[in-house]
Amino acid sequence: MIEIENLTKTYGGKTAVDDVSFTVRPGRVTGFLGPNGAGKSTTMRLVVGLESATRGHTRVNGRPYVQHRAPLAEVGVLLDAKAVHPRRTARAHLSALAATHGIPRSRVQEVVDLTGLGAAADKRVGGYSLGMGQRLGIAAALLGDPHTVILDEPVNGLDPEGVVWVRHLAKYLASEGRTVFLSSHLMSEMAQTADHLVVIGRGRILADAPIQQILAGGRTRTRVRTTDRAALRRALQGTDAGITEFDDDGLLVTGPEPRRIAEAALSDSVLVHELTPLTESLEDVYMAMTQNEVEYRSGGAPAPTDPAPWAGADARTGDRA
Amino acid sequence: MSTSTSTAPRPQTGAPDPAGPSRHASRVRLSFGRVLRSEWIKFRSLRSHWILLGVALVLSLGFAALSASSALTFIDFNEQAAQEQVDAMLDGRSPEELGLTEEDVQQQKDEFIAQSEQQMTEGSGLSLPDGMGFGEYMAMSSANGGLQLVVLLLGALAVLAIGSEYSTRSIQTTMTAVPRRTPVMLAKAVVLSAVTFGFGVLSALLSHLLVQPILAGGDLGYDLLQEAVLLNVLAVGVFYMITSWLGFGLGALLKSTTWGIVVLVVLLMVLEIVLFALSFEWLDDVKPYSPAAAGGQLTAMYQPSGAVLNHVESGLVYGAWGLVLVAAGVLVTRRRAL
Repeated sequence: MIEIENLTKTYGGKTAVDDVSFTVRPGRVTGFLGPNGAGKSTTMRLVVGLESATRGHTRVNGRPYVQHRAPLAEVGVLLDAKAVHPRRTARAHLSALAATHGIPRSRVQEVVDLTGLGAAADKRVGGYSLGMGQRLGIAAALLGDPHTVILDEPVNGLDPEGVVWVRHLAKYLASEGRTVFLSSHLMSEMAQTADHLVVIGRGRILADAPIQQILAGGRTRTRVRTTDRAALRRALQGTDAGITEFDDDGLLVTGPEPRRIAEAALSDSVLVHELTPLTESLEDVYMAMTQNEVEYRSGGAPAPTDPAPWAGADARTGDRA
Repeated sequence: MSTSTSTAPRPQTGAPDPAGPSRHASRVRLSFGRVLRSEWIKFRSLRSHWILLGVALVLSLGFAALSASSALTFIDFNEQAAQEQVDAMLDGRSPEELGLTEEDVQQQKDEFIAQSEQQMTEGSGLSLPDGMGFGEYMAMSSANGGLQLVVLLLGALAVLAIGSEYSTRSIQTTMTAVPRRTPVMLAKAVVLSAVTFGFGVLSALLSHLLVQPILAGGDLGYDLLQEAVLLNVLAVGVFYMITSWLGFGLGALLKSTTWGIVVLVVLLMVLEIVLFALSFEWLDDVKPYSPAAAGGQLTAMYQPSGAVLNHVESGLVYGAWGLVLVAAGVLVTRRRAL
C-alpha cells in the first residue's frame, strides 16, 4: 500500500508535483498515467526518498520509506534501468544489493532466472541492450520479494515478448496480494495491464478511478443522425440530455440511454438513421483529459481532439464523402 | 534474448511460500555489517580499482629502486670528491713523503666524507640519530621514493569510488536500498580505509625489501626490523588511509570524479607550492598544518630538528583534514536529491 498525502514538490519556482493525494492499494495493478514531464517520476522518487518533498507525506506499507528496517523487502523499485555501473556484471550488481539486506545468494539466482537474464548475468551491464537493462532493473526490484512494487515505465525498450511478460508479471504480483504501481505515458499499455488508474498532468491528479469507470467516462454518449435535428431536440426536451450538433445531420447526445432516445424519436415521428452508443477508447479519454495539461505539444500536428473524438471513425480519418 | 519467461501465464516470483510475500522478512533487513559487505562486493567487482592498485604498486617499487640507486650515486660522488680533496692535499707526493701512513690518509678521506655529509644533513635541517650519515638516511628513505606520486593515485581511487556512483547514477540504486544513506557512506569509507592502509603497509614493506639488494652494492643495507623502518611502514599505511578520506570526502561533496581529483591535487600539491612561494612570517606558523606538510611530516623517516609537529601530531593534523572532509561529504549526501 502506498499512501500519498498533499504531496508537493517545487524546483525553484516550478511546481513539478502539485498537492497530490492518492492511495495505491494492494491486490491490483494501479497504473500511473500521464504525459512526459507530468510528475510521474518525481512522485515515485519522492516515495522512495531520493528527493524530499516540499510539502506533504508519502507512506509505504504504513510508514515513510526511510523508516523501514528492510526497505528492499517492503518496496521493489525500478526508476532508472541505467542507474547501474556499466563495468559491473549484473550478478555483482544484484549481489551487492542483496548483501545490504542479507538476502541469500540463491535469491539472486532466482531473480536472474525469473527475469530471463540467464547467461548474460555474468556479462558487464555496459554491453546490455535497453531491454536487457530493463530486465536487470526488474530483477533488482524483485530481489527483496517486496510487498509493494514500483516500476517507472517498465516496458520502455522491451521487445513485444518482453512487454507481454511484464504485463503478466504485474498481474501475477497483484494476484498474490502485492501492491503494484506502474507508470507509463502509453495509454494503450495501461489499458491492457492496469485495474485502476491514476492520471496525472502538470503535477495535478486528473483522475483516480477503476479503469472501467474512466473508460465509461461517467455518462452515456450516443451519436445520432437524423433528417430533422430541431424536431429531435424538441423530442428530447424534458430528459437531462446534453446535446451537441456536428456535421449537417449529427447530434451528440449525452445522458439518456440509446433506447430512451429511440423512444422519444418514435413518439414524435422523427426519422433517425443512425444511433450509435459511443464507447470511448482510453486513449480518447486520456487525450481529452490531458489536452490542457501537456507541457510540450508537437507544433505541426493537429490538436489531439480535432476532430472531436465522438465525430465517428470516418470523420477522424478525414474520409467522409 | 530467447527466454521461456514471457509466455508463462503465471510467472513465478520465486516465492513458493503460500504464506505470502514476506517469507524471509524476519531475517532480511539492513545492518551496518551487511552494508559493509555490500560495499566490499562493489569495490572488488570493478576491475579498474585493481588496475589502479597494480599501477600504484609498480610505481612504488619503481621509484624506490630509482631512489636507492641515486643514494648509491650520492655515496659514490661523495667518495670521489673526498678522494679529490685527499689528492689535492698530497699534491702528487706519496704519504710517506709527508710522514703519513696509509691509515692516516684513509682517516683523512673518511673525515672529508663525514664533513660533506654533515653539511648535507644540516642543509636539510634534519636531526639524524648519532652516527647516522646522510647517505644512510638517503638509503633508508629510498623506499619512500614514490610516495608523493602514489598518494595521488590512491586519493584518486577514493574519489572514483564515490564519483563513479554519481556519473553512472548507480547512487540512486544504492541509496534506494539504504535510504538513510549514512551507513553507505561510512561503509565506503571503511572499505577504502582498509584497502589503502593495507596497500600502504604492503607496498612499504615490499619497497624496503626491494631496495636492500640495490643498496648492498654500496654497503648501505639496513636492518628492516629496526623501529624507524617499522614505524615508517605503519606511517605509509596511515598516510594513504587518511588520503583516501580526503579523496572520498571531496568526491562526495563535489559529486564528480574529475573535480574531486582536481581539488585533491590542489590540496596536496598546488597549495604547498603556493605556501612555499609566499614568505609572510605569519604563514610560517600555519605551514606545518597544511595537508601536504602534515602528510609529508607523518611519513618522514626522521624529523627536521626544528619540526613543529612530531610524527603522531602531524598524523593527527592530517587525519583531522580527512575527517572534516568525510563528515562534510556525509552531511551533504544525507540531504541532497539524488
